[in-house]
Amino acid sequence: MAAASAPPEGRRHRLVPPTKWRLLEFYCYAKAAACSPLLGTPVPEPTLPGRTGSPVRCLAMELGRLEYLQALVTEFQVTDSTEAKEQVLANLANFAYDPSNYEYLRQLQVLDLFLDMLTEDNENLVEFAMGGLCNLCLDKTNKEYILEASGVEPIISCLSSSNEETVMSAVTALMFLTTPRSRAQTTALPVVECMLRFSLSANTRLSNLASIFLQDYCSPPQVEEARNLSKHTAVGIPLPKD
Amino acid sequence: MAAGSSGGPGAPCRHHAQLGACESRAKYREGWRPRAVKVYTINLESRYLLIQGVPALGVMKELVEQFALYGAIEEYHPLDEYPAEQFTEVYLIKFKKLQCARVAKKKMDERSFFGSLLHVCYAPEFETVQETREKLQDRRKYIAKATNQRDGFVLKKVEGPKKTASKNSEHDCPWSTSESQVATNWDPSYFTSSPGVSQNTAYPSGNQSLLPSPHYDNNCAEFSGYFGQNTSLTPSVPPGGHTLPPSLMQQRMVPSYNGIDRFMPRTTHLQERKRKREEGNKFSFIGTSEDNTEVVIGPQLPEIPKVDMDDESLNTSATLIRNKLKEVADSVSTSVEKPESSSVKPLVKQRRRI
Repeated sequence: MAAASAPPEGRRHRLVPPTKWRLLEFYCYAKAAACSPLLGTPVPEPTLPGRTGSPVRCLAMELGRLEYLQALVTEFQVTDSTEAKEQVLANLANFAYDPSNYEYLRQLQVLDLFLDMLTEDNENLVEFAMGGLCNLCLDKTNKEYILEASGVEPIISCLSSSNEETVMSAVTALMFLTTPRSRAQTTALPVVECMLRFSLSANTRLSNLASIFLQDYCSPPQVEEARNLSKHTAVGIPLPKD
Repeated sequence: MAAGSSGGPGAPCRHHAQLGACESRAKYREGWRPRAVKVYTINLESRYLLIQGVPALGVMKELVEQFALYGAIEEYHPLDEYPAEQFTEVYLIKFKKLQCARVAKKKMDERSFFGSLLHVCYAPEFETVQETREKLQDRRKYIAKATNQRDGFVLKKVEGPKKTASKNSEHDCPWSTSESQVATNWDPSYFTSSPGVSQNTAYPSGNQSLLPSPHYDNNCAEFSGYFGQNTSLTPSVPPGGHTLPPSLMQQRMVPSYNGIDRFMPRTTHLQERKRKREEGNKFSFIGTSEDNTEVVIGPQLPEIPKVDMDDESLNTSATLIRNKLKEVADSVSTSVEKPESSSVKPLVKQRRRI
C-alpha cells in the first residue's frame, strides 16, 4: 500500500522540464537577490564569495547589490535630512567592510563621497566616512585611488578630531595607506609626533594603535626626531614625568 | 586630546554603551532587527567579548559553555571591578579566533540568558599591542586574498603551517554545526542575514530534495570550492575540530583522557594498550578508512541505489554532486578519525566488513 502510493524519487522533477527548471531556479535566485539587501541593513549584507555557486546566481545577486548601493548613494545625494544622510553614510561605510563590494563602491564613486565628507562639520558624518575609508583602503586599487585623490591630507587632519572612533579609523587608515611611495606623506613629522602623544594615551585602543604605527611604520630616527621636536615645542598634552 | 580618559581595560568605554536603535530609517533600509546607526571597522572588532547583564546566579559555567558553541575560547573571567547593574555580573571572554567572536556576538547579543538579556560587545581595549597588530595583519591578509581572488589571480605563497592556520581563521570556523552557521561560515563579512533566507540563497532549491546530506557537508563543499586553490580542506581542520560541540570542557578532558603524564603500573599499561587497540578497531569499523594496507574480508555490501532522474543532464549533475558530497564527507570523517587512527597505525588487522 505504502509502496504503491510513494512516487519514485525524481518523478517530481519530471513534471518540470529541465529548461524550465533552470528558469525557475534563476527566478528563485533573482528573488532572493532582490530582497536580500533589505535584510542586513544598516550593516553589510552577507556576501557570497564570487567563486561559489552557479554564474546565474552570482549575476543575480550582484545585480541586486549594485542597484541597492546605487539607491543608497542616490538617497544620500538627494535627501535634505541630516539624519538620513548619516544613516546612509553609515550603511555605505559598513558595506565598505566587505571586499566583494569594492568594485561597486568604486563604480558609484563612493570613495570620493567618503573623502568629501571628511571635511564636513557634522562629526558623525566625518566618523562614518573615516570608518568607511578605513574599511576599504587596504585594497590595492582603492589605496591607489585615495593616494591619487590626495586623500592623505584630510585623513591626517582627522587625527585632531575629538571623536575617538574618527581618530582611530584615521590612524589605521594611515597605516594601511602607507606604501614605499606614500611613506613620506603618511609618516610626516607632525603625524609621528601626534602618534607619540597617542601612544601615551590612557586609552588602550588608541595607544596600541599608535605604538604599532611607531614601531612598524616609522623608522627609529623618525621617532627620535619627533620626540625631540615635541620636547622643544611642548605642543599637545604634557608628557608624563619620567 | 582625542579620546576620553576612560579607555583603559576594565573601565567602561564609550563603545560599550548600547546605542539606541534607529527609528527613522527609510523602509528600504530597514532590517529584520532594529539596529543603531554605527560603523564597524577593524578597530572596533576584537577576539575579546565583554558580556554584560549576566545574572549573578553563579552561572559562569553555563555562560562559557554557551559561548563555546561558537568556537574555542582561550580565556574567560569575571570582571568584578566593571560597573554592573544590581544582581548582574560582567564577564570577559577571549576567543581564539576573531571570526568566532563575531559569530558569538551576533548570536548572543540581546539573547535571554537565565531570565536576563545579555549585552555582548567587543572589548578591543583588552588587547595587547601584539594582539592588535595580529588583528590588523589578519585583516590585511584577508583583503589581499579576497581581492586577488576576485581578479582571478591566484596567490601562491608558501607559508608555514601555523601561518596558514591563522589565515584560515578569518573564515574558517570548523565547529559550526547549526544551519545558521552555514551562512556565516564562508561569509567574509560578519553581518549575516537571518538563517532562513541565507538558506534560500545558499542552496539551489531544486537540489534540496535530492540530497539528504548533513548541512556541514554542503558547507564544506562550498568552502573548499572557494578556497580550493591555496588551502586544502583536510589539513586546515584541526584534529578533533569536528567534535560536536567542542565545549571548553571537552577540550580540557582530552589530555587527562590520554593519561600520558599520569603514573601507571605496567599491568595497567598493558590493559590500557589492549583497550586502545580494541577501541581503534571499533573506530575503523565505523569510519570509512582510506588506508590501503588494511585487509578487508567478508561479502561486499551493495552500493547505495542511484536515483534515476530520467534525464541525461540531470543524472550527470546528480552524480557530480553526489561525488562531491562523498569526497567532502570522506575528508571530514578521516580528519575526525585522525587522532585515533594515528595511535593505532602500527597494527594492521584484518577486519570483517559489516
